Amino acid sequence: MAPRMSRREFVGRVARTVGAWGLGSWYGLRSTTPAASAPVKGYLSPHRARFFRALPGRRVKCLLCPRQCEVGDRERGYCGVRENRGGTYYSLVYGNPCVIHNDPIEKKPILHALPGSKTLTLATAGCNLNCKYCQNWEFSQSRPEDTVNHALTPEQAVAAAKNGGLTFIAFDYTEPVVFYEYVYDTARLAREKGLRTVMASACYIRPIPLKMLCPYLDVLKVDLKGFTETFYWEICRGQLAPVLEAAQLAQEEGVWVELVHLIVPTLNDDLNRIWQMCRWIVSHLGPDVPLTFSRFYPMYQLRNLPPTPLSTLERAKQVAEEVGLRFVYLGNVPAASTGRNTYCPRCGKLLIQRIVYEVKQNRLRNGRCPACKTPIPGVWE
Amino acid sequence: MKRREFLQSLASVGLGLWGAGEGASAGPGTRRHRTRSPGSPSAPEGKPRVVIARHSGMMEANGRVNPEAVQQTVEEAVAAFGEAETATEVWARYYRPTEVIGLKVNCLAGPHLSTRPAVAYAVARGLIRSGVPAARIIIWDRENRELRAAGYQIVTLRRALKCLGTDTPRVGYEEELSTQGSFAGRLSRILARFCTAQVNLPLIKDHGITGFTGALKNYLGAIHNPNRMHEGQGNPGIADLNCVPALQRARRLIVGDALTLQYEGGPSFDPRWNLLYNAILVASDPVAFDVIGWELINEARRGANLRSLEAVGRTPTYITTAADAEHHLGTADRSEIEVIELTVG
Repeated sequence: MAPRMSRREFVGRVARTVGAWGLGSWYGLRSTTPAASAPVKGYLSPHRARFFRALPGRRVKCLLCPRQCEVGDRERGYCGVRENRGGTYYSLVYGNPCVIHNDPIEKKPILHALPGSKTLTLATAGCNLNCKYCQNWEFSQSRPEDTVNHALTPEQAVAAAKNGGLTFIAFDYTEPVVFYEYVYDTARLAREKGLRTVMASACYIRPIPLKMLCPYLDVLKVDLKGFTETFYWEICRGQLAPVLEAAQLAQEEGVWVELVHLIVPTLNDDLNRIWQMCRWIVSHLGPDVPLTFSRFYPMYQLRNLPPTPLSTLERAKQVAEEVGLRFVYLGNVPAASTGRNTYCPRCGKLLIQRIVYEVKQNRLRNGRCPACKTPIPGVWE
Repeated sequence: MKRREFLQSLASVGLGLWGAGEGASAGPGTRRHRTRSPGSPSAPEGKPRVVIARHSGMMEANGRVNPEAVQQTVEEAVAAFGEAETATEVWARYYRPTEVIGLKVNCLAGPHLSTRPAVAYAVARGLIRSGVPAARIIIWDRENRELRAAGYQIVTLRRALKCLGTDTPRVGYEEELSTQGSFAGRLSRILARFCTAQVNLPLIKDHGITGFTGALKNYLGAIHNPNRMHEGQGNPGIADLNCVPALQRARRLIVGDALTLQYEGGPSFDPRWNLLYNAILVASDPVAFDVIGWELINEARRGANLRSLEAVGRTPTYITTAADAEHHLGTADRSEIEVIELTVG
């Protein structure tokens, strides 16, 4: 008799296996990359980290994210995926994603970049934040020893995306910053091979690594989690200022930036604060940056809170539009919602109709409204 | 290992331990029959007690360990802690034969600075002599690789004294998240499911972030995300973790391996600041244990003309937090802690 497994454990295990293996194999990874068809729990692939400084006593200081962990020998940084081995810092998640998905770009959500495109989405274990409502905590808050990982080099990932006829390679689900070296090499190669790249990130990253990555990124989704340092620290264990700085830097470097703000009831749903946030966006990133207000569902450490009322999201959208943002969307909302559609900010005509992650209609012509010819900012070609 | 043995080992982990753990916990009041409530920080007369037993023959300067001397010292220290004639009497007072007992060692720092196998096996022998079947004892830590590097042999056979890491196939961490204060993580199933009681076998070390690592911090090796727990110098995360019910239920005795003290450069091994100390510490109050351990580290630092942990900005504040009214894990007031020093050999 096998040891008893609860129903929840069984379902979770099946879901992870299907998620990691089934979708990977769907896209021809089995035939092109033998190792990718056989995910292994705890498979690690150490790779020298790019951003660290050696300190006395075999200690290192990580220079990748604002946390700047000082790490003793044989210990790991806060992210759990970077380890000091004898005074040299290593990423343990180079080429061993625990998630290989085929997603529509709308799922990121990215709404102003090649609507309806498919992405080969990669994620590894680990995160440099600890958001109490994390939807992917089973991956993001785990060490790579505890996730089922594929062996998938950047070359294999790019080949799989090309073979599958996908448009983008995406880095999403957990926090791409913590698998920076893998992102960098994959994105660079993807661009060489004619693919587009997108990173969905909390952007808790230091300026130099981000600046070095920007030439290889087409699109960056910035998860702007709140607009106070208190929220960032108490709910996410991070800081707001570096995120704002990173969003501006990426835009200055020519990356198409979109924002997502998940509204958590009682924690960051204050409309005055949302108004301030939108004012900052308009004045620092411009009125054309798409902003999605996303709905919270009870998860991880915040199972005690209810889902965000739709009315809260709608009021936030109204505030954002009053402040001057021209493309404001709603995410994680029922399929019938029109909150995902793109409308012309000038004449109000429906330009892109979306049902959940599916594009039903795309009336844009050369990036313009077909009625009034107003240019709609985004990546359309 | 033969195929048969391997399969058997999997079965023992899955069936033997799991079943034993559940059976023991569901049995007729393991806790009710105890003379002291689990986790009671008090020595017999109610004052937290820490025994420091020294034996110069336990370890030589070249690192060679004398298991007989270790065994003798552990027995003397445990007996002194329980004010008993023999250690067996004390083991029997804290652990029942129907329980599954985990011996949580610390093997993070490799062969030169892990809980020595001689100490773990001395504890296991003491438990066996008190009537606990060997098959109900598990020496454990995070990873088999780390255990092997520290000199342990991985054993998962059903009828044997077991030694295994949480990363052993079909062991792993709980699927469900445990939360307690600032702590949120998955517990090792060895702690949460297989065992009903624990003997904590920490080292005494300086720590570059948290200041000190001893009894309280040893259980960072029982969760899937220890990297999260160093924030704020481990305060209050380490104290919060120690309040998790699975740990509260299982906490009994602490047998600290102080054969050496790593008083600077920890938690990894650095021979420049590794002092041969040849002592075993025994306590039941993890806070009192850590207060004394912290004191020993500062003494060693003074001896090497290094400033105290406090002076270099590495005060292990999580220890005092663990003693506050919210956590109530023990006594941090040094004047309230009784220290018994023994010279065994």
